[in-house]
Amino acid sequence: MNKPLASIVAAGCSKFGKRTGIMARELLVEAFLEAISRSKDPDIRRKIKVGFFGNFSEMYEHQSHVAPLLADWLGFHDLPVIRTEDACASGSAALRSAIFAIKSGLYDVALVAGVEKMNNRKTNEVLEGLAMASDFAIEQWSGLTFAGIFALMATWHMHKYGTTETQMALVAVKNHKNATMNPKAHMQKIITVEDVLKSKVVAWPLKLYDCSLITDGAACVIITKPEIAENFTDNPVDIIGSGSCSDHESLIEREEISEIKGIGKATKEALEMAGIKIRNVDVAELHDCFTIAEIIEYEEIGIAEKGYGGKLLEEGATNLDGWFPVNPSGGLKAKGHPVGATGVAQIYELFLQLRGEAGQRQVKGAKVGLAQNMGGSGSTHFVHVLSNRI
Amino acid sequence: MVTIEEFYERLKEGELYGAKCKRCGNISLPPREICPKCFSTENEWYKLPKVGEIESYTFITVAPKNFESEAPYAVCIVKIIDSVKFIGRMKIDDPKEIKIGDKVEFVIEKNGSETWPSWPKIYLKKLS
Ligand SMILES: [Zn+2]
Repeated sequence: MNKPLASIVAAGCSKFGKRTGIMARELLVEAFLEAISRSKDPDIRRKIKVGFFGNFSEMYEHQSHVAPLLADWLGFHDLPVIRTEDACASGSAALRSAIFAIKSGLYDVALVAGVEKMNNRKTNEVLEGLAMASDFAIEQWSGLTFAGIFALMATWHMHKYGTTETQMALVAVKNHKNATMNPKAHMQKIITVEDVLKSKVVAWPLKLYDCSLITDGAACVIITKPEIAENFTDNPVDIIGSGSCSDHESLIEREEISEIKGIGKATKEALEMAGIKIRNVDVAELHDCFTIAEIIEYEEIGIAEKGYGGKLLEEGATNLDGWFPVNPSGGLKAKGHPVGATGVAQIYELFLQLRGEAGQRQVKGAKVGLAQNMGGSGSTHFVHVLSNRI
Repeated sequence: MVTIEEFYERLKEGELYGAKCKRCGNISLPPREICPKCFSTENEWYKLPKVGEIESYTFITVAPKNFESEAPYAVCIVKIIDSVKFIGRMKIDDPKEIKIGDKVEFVIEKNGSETWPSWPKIYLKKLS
């Protein structure tokens, strides 16, 4: 294993859900207070010298220019702040930017935050807002939603490899089950394959239970240069790999529409940086915005051959007690998907897992974790590999 | 420079054009000035057939706000030639009405919008 890029010394996450009566900035306060309460240095707030804020849409709260505003609500009035926006990967963009800040030597301690307050708007308006992350000139103009874009991948994956609606449903069943063990998850409800198959069609072949949730939530982590991490916690989690790339925004421009090649590229980069193989990963948080996405991700990160992602679910390989547990938090599917917060919330879950603090959903003895987060239909990609020091 | 606006102007007149790279022959759709394969900026408009076959499709029942009045509808990725694909909407009532490989034709409808964009609407018709 190679030398860490940076270390996570504290992490916090708000309760995810329909958080009526609370604004984005206040959701982030909730996450931030948890994070600083985890530090053994009571003065950690004053050690933070730069902040990166992941946030997707101005539409939901009629609010752009959120970085100074969010910092203000956390009690910072003269902090260098930058907002990052990469659609559903905005939170990971904040994390990677903070790694640049630490690794460059410019800063020793950085705040990484992600937040989205989505439930102020009607569902059709939320969908309209989300669709803005696809190419306006082609995909939005054709009346596609994000469910529609992933449905196009699913139809082709089913046609080419024989993937079934039942296999897709198994992703939802697994992640909903995991979420019942996560008190912060948006939904805590066991569902069956039949529930998924019988749920209302949203964009055939995807049904309501194939889709992630419209969620309000925030998450944050504090990262430092590795040498000083133990000033803040006895149990830091090191960031040992970070991979990222882009791809065509429009699905029609990709040669093979059921492959999301950027996931594979970013994973390879992150694992090589860490000096490990995918089989050395003990627990993963993958971007299950739609059930088909998690299946494609198994194939892209290299735990299944192309076309065999669905089989892994039938074998239970990615269950909490399987050989490659995926989305112990409940994932975007059941924990929820507050767009700008999602990438940071994945890191929060791995922080708990690698410190042995994940309660009922703890993956026993987890040492290495992988977080995979993507923007839009897979046109921005981030993969981070984390390890504890035990 | 090849632009999206001119692409849609040409489509409004009933013709589908991509941008063909003069160096490597790659056809971009939507057209763009810099070839995504070889970075060349030497290109020309290239007329494409308005027919192709369905590569994949979805049947949308929960539509974005601007398309709610049309829902439900199918959106299909249509393979025109080799790697050149385009996308269109089809008014159907059940996803079983179409399948991968079906031959379809693009049908262009003027939009009449006073504000940007006044791009035409792109529908698909099944060819028997
Ligand atoms: Zn070229």
